[in-house]
Amino acid sequence: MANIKSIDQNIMLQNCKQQKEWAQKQLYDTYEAVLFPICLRYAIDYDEAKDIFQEGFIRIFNNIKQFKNEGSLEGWLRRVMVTTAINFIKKYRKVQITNIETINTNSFNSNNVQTHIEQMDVMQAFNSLPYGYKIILNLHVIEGYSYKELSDLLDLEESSCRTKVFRAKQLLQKILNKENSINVIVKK
Amino acid sequence: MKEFDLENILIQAAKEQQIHAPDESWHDIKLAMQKDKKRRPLIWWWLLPALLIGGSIGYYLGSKNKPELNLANIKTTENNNNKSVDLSKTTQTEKLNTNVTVQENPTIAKQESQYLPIHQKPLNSNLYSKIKVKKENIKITKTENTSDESLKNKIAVDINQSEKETANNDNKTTQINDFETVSQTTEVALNDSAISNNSIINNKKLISNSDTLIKPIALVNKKQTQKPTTKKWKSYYAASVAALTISDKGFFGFITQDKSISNFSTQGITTLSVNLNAKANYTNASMQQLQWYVQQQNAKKIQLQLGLQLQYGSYNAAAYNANILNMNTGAVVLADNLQNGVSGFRANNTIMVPLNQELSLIENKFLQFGAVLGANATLIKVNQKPKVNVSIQLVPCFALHQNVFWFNSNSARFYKDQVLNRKLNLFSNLHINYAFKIGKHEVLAGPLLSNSLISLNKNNSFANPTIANAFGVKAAIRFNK
Repeated sequence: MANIKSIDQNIMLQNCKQQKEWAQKQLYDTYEAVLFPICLRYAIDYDEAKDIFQEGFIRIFNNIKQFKNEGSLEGWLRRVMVTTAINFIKKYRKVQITNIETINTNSFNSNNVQTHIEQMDVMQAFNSLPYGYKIILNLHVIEGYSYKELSDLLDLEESSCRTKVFRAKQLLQKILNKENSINVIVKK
Repeated sequence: MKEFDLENILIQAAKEQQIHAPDESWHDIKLAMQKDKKRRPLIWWWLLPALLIGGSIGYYLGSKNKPELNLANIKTTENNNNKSVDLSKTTQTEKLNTNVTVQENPTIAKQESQYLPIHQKPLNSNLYSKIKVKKENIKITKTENTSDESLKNKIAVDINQSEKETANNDNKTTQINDFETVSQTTEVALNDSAISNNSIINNKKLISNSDTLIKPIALVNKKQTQKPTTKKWKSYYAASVAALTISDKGFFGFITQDKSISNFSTQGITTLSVNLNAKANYTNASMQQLQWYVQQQNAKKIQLQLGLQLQYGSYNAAAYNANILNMNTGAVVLADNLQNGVSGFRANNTIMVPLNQELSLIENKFLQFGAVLGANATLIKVNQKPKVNVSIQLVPCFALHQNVFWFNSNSARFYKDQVLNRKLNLFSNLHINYAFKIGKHEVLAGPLLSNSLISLNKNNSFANPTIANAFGVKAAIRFNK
C-alpha cells in the first residue's frame, strides 16, 4: 500500500511540477488540513491565517520544482508554510517579541479544570500565550528551529532567544498548572 | 502532582492537529495564481531590448556575408529596324520647302535597342549601385541632294557610339535603387525638347540639323560602393545628468536590501505614528554619467551602441531610530522603498546616532563602472532639423564605491558608512531623446526610464530580485569629433 501511495504521490508531484491543475488540487486536498493549523498558530486571527495559507500554497506551487523527492513531502510543505508565515508577519505586521514581559494570566479560561493534561489542553493554553511567545515556541518547539536559526529569523541575539523560549515555556507551564493543578516540567 | 513532558505533548498536539481550511480557499488560491501569471508579461517586456540588440547584431552579421552586389538582369531586345521614313508630307514642307526622306543608316539600325529592361533584385541596404547608362547619340543631319530633280533632302541618321560622346552625357547617369525598368521610352529625348518614343523618327515631324537622338543602349560600369559614414563605427563621448524619482514599486538597486544579512527586521514599525509608506516612497535621486561608446549605423534608422560608462549618483532613504522600534541593539532600520512600502533592513555595525522620533535621512552615494550595450532608433529626422531618437540600453555595472551617510537629525550631521560596496547591478534604460545640434556637437534631452533588473552582492546572492523603477529626465551633450 505504501508503494502505491508513493507512486501516486510521485505522479501527483510530477504533474504539479508541470503546473497541472488537477494535481495541484490533489496536493491541496491531501495537505490542507495539516497546513492550515500551522497558519492558525502563526496568525493573529482567522482571516490572517487564510491569507498566510493562500500565500503559502502559491509559494508551494511556484517552487514545487525545488522539491527533489529527498525527505518527506509533508516536511517540505510545512517548512514552506512556516517560512511564508514568518515572512508574512515581517511584511505586514510587526511582531513584538521583545515586548512580552508583562503577562496577564488572569484572562485565561479556568473553567475546564481536569486532573490530567491532554493535548487539547496544551494547545488551548498554547493559544492563550502572548503572541510573541507563541511564535517563538512555535518555531523552536514545534517546528524544531535551533536557537541560531531563531536568532537569524527574529533578529535577536541567540542568548536572548534562549531566554525567551525558556520564559515562554515557563509561562505555558504556569497557565497549565493554574488551570489543571498539575506539574508540567519544563526542560531548559 | 503528575509530571508531563510539555514539549512532547505540544509537538504531538501540533502534529496531530488537523483543521480544514475554509472552502473558498482553493478558489482564492487559483485566482491569485492566475493574477500572478498575468503579471508576468511585464517581465517579458524586458526581453524587447535584448531581442532588438540581438536582431540588429544578427542582421549586421548576416548582411556582412552577402555577395557584394546582385547583378542586374538585363534583357535586351534587339530589333533590326532598317527602314525609311518618308517625311514628304505637307506639314514638313512648310519648313523645308521640299520633300524630305529620312533614312536610317542600316549599320546604326542594327544596333538599335528598343528596350533595356533592367530587373534588379533589391540591394543590400548598406550598398548602393550607381549604374551608368551609356548613351548613344544619334546624330541626325540633314543633307540636301540638289542633284536630284525631285529635290529630295535626305537626312542621314548617324549613330555615333564613340566613348567621347558617351562621356559628353555623363551627367545622364541613373541611380537604380530597387527595381526599375529603363526603356528607350523613358530615356530617349530629342534636344528640341520633344519626348520621343520607340518610333521616334516616325513621330518626328520637324527635324533640324541640330537634332540629336539620345537613347540608352547598355548598362556599363556597375559599381558597388560602400555608403560613406554608415558602415564604420563612430566613436562618441557623452556627458549627462539625470534627475530621477525612484518609485515605490520595487527597489532601486544601487543599494538594496541584502538578503544575506538575515537579521533584518521591521519590528515595531507599526508603533510609529508616522506614515512610513508616505514618507519612504518616491525618493529623489540624481545621476551624473560619463560615457564613451561606439555607434554603428546598422540598419537604415537603427544604430548599435557599445561602450563604457562611469556613473555617479546619489539618493536619499529614510531611517528610523531603533529605539523607537523597540529593537534591542543599536541598529537603524532603513525604511527604504521596498515592496509594499513597509520593509527594511538593518545595517550591521552601523554607527548608531541618537535620533529623534522623526524621519531621518540616509544619503546614499555611489560610483559605478559599467558597460553599455544598446540600440538607438531614429524616429524622426528631417535633414538638419532636430531629430527624435529612442534608445534602449542594457547596462551591467559594478559598484566601485558606495557610501551611506546616516543623518543625525539632532546634530544635523551625516555619518559615513560603507556597508554595501562591491555590488553587481544590471540596469535597463529606455531613453527618448530630442536631439539637436549645437555647432559640432549634439545635445540630447528627454525622459528616461531606468530599471534595476539584477542586483547581486559580493557573495553572489540576490540582493533583491524585485524589478525596480526610476523615472525622470536626462540631458546629455555628445561630443562629435
